[in-house]
Amino acid sequence: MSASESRSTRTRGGASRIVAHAVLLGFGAVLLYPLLFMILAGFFTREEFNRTVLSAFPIPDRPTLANYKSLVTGTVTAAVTKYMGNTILRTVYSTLFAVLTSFLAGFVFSRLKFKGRGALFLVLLATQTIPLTIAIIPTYLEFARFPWAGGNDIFVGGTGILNTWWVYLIGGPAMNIMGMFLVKQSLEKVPIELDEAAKMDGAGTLRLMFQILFPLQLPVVAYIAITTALGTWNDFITPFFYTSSDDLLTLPGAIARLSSISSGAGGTINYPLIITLGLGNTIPAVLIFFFFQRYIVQGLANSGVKG
Amino acid sequence: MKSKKGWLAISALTMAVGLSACGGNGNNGNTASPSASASGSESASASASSSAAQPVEIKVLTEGSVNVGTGVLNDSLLATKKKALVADETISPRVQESDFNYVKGQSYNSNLYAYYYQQIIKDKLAEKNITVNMEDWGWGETLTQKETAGFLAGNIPDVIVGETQMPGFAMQGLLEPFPDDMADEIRENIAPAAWKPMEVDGKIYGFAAQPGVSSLFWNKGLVKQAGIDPDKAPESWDELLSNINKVTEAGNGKFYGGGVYAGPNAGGYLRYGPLLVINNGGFIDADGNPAFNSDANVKTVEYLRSLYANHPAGLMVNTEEGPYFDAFKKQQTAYIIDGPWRASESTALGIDYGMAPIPLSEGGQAGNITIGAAFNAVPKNAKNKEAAFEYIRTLYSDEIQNLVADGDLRSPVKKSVAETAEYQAAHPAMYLHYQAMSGNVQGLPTFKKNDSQVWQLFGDAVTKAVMSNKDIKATLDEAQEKAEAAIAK
Amino acid sequence: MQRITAEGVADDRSGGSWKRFIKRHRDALLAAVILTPLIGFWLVVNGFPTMFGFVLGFFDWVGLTDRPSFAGLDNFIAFFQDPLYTGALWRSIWIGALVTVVTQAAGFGAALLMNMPLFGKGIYRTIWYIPAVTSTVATTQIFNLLLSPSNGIINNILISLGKEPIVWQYSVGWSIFWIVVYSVWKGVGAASLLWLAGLQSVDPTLYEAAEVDGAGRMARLRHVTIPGLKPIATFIFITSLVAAIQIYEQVLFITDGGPYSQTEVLVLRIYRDGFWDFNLGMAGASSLIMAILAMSITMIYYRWSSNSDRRTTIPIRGGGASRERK
Repeated sequence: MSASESRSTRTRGGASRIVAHAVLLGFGAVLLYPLLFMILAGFFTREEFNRTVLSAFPIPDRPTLANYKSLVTGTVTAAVTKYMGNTILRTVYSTLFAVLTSFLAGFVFSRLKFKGRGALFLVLLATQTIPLTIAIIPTYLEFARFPWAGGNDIFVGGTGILNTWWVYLIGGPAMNIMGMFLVKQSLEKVPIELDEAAKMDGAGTLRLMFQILFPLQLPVVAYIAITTALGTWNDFITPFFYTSSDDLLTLPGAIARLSSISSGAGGTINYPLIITLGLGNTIPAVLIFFFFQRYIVQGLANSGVKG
Repeated sequence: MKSKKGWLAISALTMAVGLSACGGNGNNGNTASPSASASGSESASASASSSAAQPVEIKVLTEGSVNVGTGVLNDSLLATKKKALVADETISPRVQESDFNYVKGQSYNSNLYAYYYQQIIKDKLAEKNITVNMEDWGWGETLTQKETAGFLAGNIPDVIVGETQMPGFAMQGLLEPFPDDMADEIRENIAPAAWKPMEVDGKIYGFAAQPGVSSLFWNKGLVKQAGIDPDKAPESWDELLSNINKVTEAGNGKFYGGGVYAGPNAGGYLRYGPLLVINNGGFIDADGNPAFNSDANVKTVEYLRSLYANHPAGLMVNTEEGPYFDAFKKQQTAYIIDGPWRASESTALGIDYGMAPIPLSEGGQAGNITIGAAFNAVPKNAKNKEAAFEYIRTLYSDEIQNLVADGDLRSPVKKSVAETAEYQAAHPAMYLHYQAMSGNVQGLPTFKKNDSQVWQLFGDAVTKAVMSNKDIKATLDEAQEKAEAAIAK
Repeated sequence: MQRITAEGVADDRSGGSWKRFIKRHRDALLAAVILTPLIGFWLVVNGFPTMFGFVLGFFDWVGLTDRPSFAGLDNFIAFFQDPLYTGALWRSIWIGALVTVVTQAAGFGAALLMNMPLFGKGIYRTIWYIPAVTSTVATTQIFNLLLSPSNGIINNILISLGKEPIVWQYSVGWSIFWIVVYSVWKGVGAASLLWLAGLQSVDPTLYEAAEVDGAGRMARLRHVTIPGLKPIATFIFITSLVAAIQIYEQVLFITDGGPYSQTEVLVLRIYRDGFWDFNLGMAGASSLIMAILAMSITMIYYRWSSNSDRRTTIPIRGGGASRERK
């Protein structure tokens, strides 16, 4: 926190701080209410959940730990730990990929001079605004059919890379354009003299990029990492749409599948279980955020980029 | 340097070409030639003779109510499932090791239905040297999306499953009609609810092992509080309405008479559809064009409007169906029109319920709409059609149908299983349900173009008419006009 | 670009003239080496399917077995003649604008508070951000439980207060209200984080100078904070507006476009055309129109904001914003 800010606040006394605490806490409670509801609902059995008119803070007559236990043991239709493992693998990969590609592209657009740089950058930026819904069916077709994207037969069709790990390896967003934009903006604030000094010391381009410039971009990198990690973590469309096997399912995909059982065709949706699985999916994400959030603040405060 | 660069370029090129070539051969080579998957039925019958001798693996879509996991259906998969069932604390009643003792003619723990179902399928198909590889694509909207994309990409299993989207697939020519002998067998031995909605131009395209039709259910406790005999089923629409009004009055804001869900979605169309059919109306005319504004439909919608005030505000036409059924489960409404599963769910929640065929309107005729059916069908470009039809034959085998009968959650659809004195005696309510399934039963139609838009128009018109005091005829006329325009678009 | 890449790879083994060439075009070559695989990969995985979708906008293609036939601009003409589509487009814009304004105003307020030297800041930030990490499918269900007509918690409270229950689902106003509430609930944490970063990028010496001049809290907010935030503010508003005009999941799950399609936004329409009616022609045309709209907003911002503004849109302390003020 900036020194001047804290000083001035201290001189005005603690009253405004109390108000700030009250507002942040009050609205924070409102924001957290749906989560609290989910936590309580997780203690219900399916039968009691269905039978009871729920109050604002529902307390079951006969609380059960079965739903929470299933986060560790899984259930008959959901191998929770396997899905969780898949979710983690996928998220780590996508995050590393996004950070690396954003940094590389950001470096190119901020540090290298070449013809058409501005135009190319604008085009890439513009693609950021396209609604993704339109690409779902064409992507499916491409994965199934086109050799250069992993498919196998343009004319007859087939499975291609559908239902394989390749879906996760190449199927996420191939380039984080927003990340590239942020890195570019941020790098432009790093004085070019720094590069020159490094080169005088005999540093090559790679060393300049990864040992000198990259560490200075950690706040931005943390931001990119958070948004990518959380986006991938919660994504259910990719696992649900492009894979079918239990071995590839992620937890959000499993939740989507469990909630799309037909009540008509004889299955019954187990709401308390689904809510609990949703919580189980949220908690690691909150931890991810909590970890990175400190990192962002720290990075902002001690940023070496002081001009 | 130059040569090295050239070599790089060439190797990159050959790699790209080679990859596509290998991929093409690798995937299609093992089971069927590309021509077999591309063309129609003649190649399917050609491969039929060989499939009996050679082991065949078919890819099959499974769904929630019969899901035992995905992958190849074999002993180890079932053993895993058995272990998981015993270990799972979230299901009730909990499954014990000693529960795995089903014999024909006796009841069993309903949580084991999927296990026995798949066990029968595995054993019966093993005799024909067919193994089943299961995938679960979900249900409802998501399943429809995936199937749509799958058809488009040519990545479609040998047997697919689904509900209201399936007649549409059949109409578009995406499904293989059942072979004639199989169709004849089905027509003769099976209640129409299981296949009639999948009949297009005299051919059958799909089969459901345990479909349902709607019945009237009531909460005996609430009905009794209104001074109505809880064991007497209402016999006419008027009697039903007067009962419902009485319950609402007795409930005084605590509980309501209820009636039928009429929201603007498939859940609504499936529930109030039977009322339209009973009252000699319906969704389409003989040529498959929308027929929303018939006088019969106007009368039915008028009846629906009289039910509206017998619900908590807005519940009857809520955009989501879930809360409507929740209200019955939580004993806030007394009457409901729903599929047969309402019986077992009510028992599980400790609700003392009555179940009877939907009463008739004045001058009405018994009729119903198939609901909660998982239709199994064989896509036109399936790779192993013959084996796929064997799979569907298994679904109406005596073993599967007996399993359904003994489960008492649904009725069997096979006449030889259901039309017996023993079945009628052991499961009287489900026997009545079976009778309703063998009467005049239809499916929800698929419109020729812009199907979801047309349905939306109708659904919105009905909710508008039910909720407001607007002229019903005019509201339906407007929907009809717009629907015709949307189809002509 | 391909050609240059190959030469770039051949860097160390090149002769005299190559050396000169490489030296002169070093930046371009390096850019090509890095960007070619990146953009190539992007084209294959994202670019091509999107283009394919757009191209379908010029075809008439309804139904799985139908063959696409070239239709020129027919779909686009139909789009602007049909109130179903123009209405959806208009709703996307104004609901998107509403969501943006409310979310950012709330986020800004929260950021001002979080910027104070409070005990447990990190916990507050996390709490406010938690809704953003929950899954839309699960949390919209909780919202629906709150709004249920039979045992919705909000209506139960109204009834216990002796008020009439509200039929949320059949009031356009309330439906949009809840869509906005949900979107704000989910978005406010991320917004406050960005604003916080922006606040911390304002040069602290400016505050000191203002304080020396005797400026009060409100005066400092008006004369130091807000001008210092101008560049990042435009950036935040534009990116969140572009995102907000494309929301559809919460609309799908909370109102499903109802009542009577009066909350149907364009992306939901695209989704329905594409997946339900399999009208890929109209879905493609609508997507293209949506993309053009979103791009125009971005371009207008890009042209309108000055160069210096653009450079300072990043949350790094001691950045150009403060230098500009001096």
